[in-house]
Amino acid sequence: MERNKAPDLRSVLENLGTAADFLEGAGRLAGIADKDVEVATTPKELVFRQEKVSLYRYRPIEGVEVRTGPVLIVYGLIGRYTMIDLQEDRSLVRNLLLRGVDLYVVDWGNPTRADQNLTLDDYVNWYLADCVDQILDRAGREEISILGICEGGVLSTLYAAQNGERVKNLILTITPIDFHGDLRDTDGSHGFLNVWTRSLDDSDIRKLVDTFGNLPGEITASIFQMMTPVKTLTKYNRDLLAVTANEESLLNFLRMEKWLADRPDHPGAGALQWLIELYKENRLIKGTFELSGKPVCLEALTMPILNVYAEHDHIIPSPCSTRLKELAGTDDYTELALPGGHVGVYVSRKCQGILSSTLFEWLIERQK
Amino acid sequence: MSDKPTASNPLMDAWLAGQKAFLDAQAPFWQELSQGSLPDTSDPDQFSILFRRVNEQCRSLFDAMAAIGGLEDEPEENVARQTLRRMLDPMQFSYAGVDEVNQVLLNLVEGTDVPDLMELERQRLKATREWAVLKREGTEYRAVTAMAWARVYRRFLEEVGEDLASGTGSPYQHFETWLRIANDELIRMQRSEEYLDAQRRVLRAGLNYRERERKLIEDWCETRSIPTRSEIDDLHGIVYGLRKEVRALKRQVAERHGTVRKRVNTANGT
Repeated sequence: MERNKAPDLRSVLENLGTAADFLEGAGRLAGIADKDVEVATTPKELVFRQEKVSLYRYRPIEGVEVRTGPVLIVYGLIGRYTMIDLQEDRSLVRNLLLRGVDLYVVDWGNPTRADQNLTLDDYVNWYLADCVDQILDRAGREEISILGICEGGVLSTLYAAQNGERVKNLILTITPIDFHGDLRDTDGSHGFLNVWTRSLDDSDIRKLVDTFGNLPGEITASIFQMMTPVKTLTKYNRDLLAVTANEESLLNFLRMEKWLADRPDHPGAGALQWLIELYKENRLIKGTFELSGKPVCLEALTMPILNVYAEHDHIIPSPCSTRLKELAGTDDYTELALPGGHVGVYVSRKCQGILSSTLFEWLIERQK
Repeated sequence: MSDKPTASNPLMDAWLAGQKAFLDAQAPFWQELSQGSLPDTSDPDQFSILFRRVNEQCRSLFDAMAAIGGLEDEPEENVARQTLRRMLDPMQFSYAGVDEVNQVLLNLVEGTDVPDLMELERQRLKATREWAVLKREGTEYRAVTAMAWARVYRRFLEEVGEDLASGTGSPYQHFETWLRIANDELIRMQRSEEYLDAQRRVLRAGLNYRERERKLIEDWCETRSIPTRSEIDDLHGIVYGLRKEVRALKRQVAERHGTVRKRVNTANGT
């Protein structure tokens, strides 16, 4: 190769990262230990445990006055709550603690085949209800604020609709309410999960769950990857090369990888409700979704609601979330649209700043 | 190693040479795709040969790069070695973003290939109709995704072909164009009935195979008085029902004694 006549490939590689960059980055990768990429490190204490479900209270930050009533964070059964506390400088948990929010989180654990019969009813009216009661007893209160995330937002909505007397405020983030809302999203790259689920027959879904007992985390992870095909394509080459030069960026990348890889199986019976009754049949907005034998009525949501969604959410297209405005029975409804995508709401520094300050101010205005 | 690695150095030259060899090796493959002259997908062997050829080229490149980077003696689980392998895995470029479910499903249904007590039965299983159907559906699914890649290349050549020939436009711009087109086409493909149908058929075939496998294993267990998966699932169901009953009874007692908060709206667990 003539060195004074650099081929175009060379400039390609300059942009993509060079061989030397790669090898240097590879060396840096090899030197990273698990402890360097720990997630969910904000101190918390176990309050209550029932089977695989654990309730934690985050330890208030020393010197910061607690200024709100208890707020319970409810994540979904797909993925892990650790996303809200990926690292110290990108942690919604820390941002809220710093402002004086009294914060709890429920960890659903890692369901196994022994949990295949657990339904959404069980998660809402059994585990979540017990967690709420524990917090109320501990705090000596009659009401709690709930902050639901994605599928956890649906669980929170279901709980609030049937237990309104216990819910002071309902905060939903990136939460699907209208599961066919993707049909109103004009961005063709959004909502593949909705399209994919609707393309399956009920019998396909039943067989999938019956075969594995649960909905395997590997399957849900792979569907999420499919939703951003080129991102998946460039992740381990172009994107990785772009971050290996900077240790902090590389650690961020790996923490995110760690969170993505930690995807529990979804209990089978609950997965059938989630995929067939909600994703396919869209029963929640029709008022035909039943929990513990009673239909869930969104009009029963009369408490103040803050509904946070991402403007470019490809997983939960924004019309899926914003439909709640028409259906909830509350007079105190607020929406917050954040720039960026689904996960960005929780991991982008910019979004976190907006989210934590808005959330805190909204809560404070509704404290008595 | 120099501070500015893009300046001439042996490592850089080796990388460039390797990349060129990599791209050259793939040229016939992509050429065939871009011309739309795909192999006959009813003949899975013919289709597989093409992919195998690309795979072999990439393995060679991986070996060469691993040697340059001093990674050849590192264990397979070494992070850098794994990353290098992923970076040079042609499947990342052939199927990435569209084939994950297929791959995951195949891994889940096939299990490990290590010899075990069930080896003979596993061999028998691979002779079944379900296995043949799974393989066929998998091939047809890949054919659908391969056609999407063919459209990517066709569009790419239409958009930047002249620039490439005349040397105008930076390679970086061309690369970004390629990614943009690939994203458009793959997302469009994912929403096509043809793709959704192919994936649905792969899913069904995978699950049917798994069902067959389970039946075979359960038959084997029963003849040896070993509890089967179905029996254990039955037990899980019974325990689940009992847990709910116990919980409801305990709750009723506690509410009567006023030791827990009364729940007025829920039918379950109260």
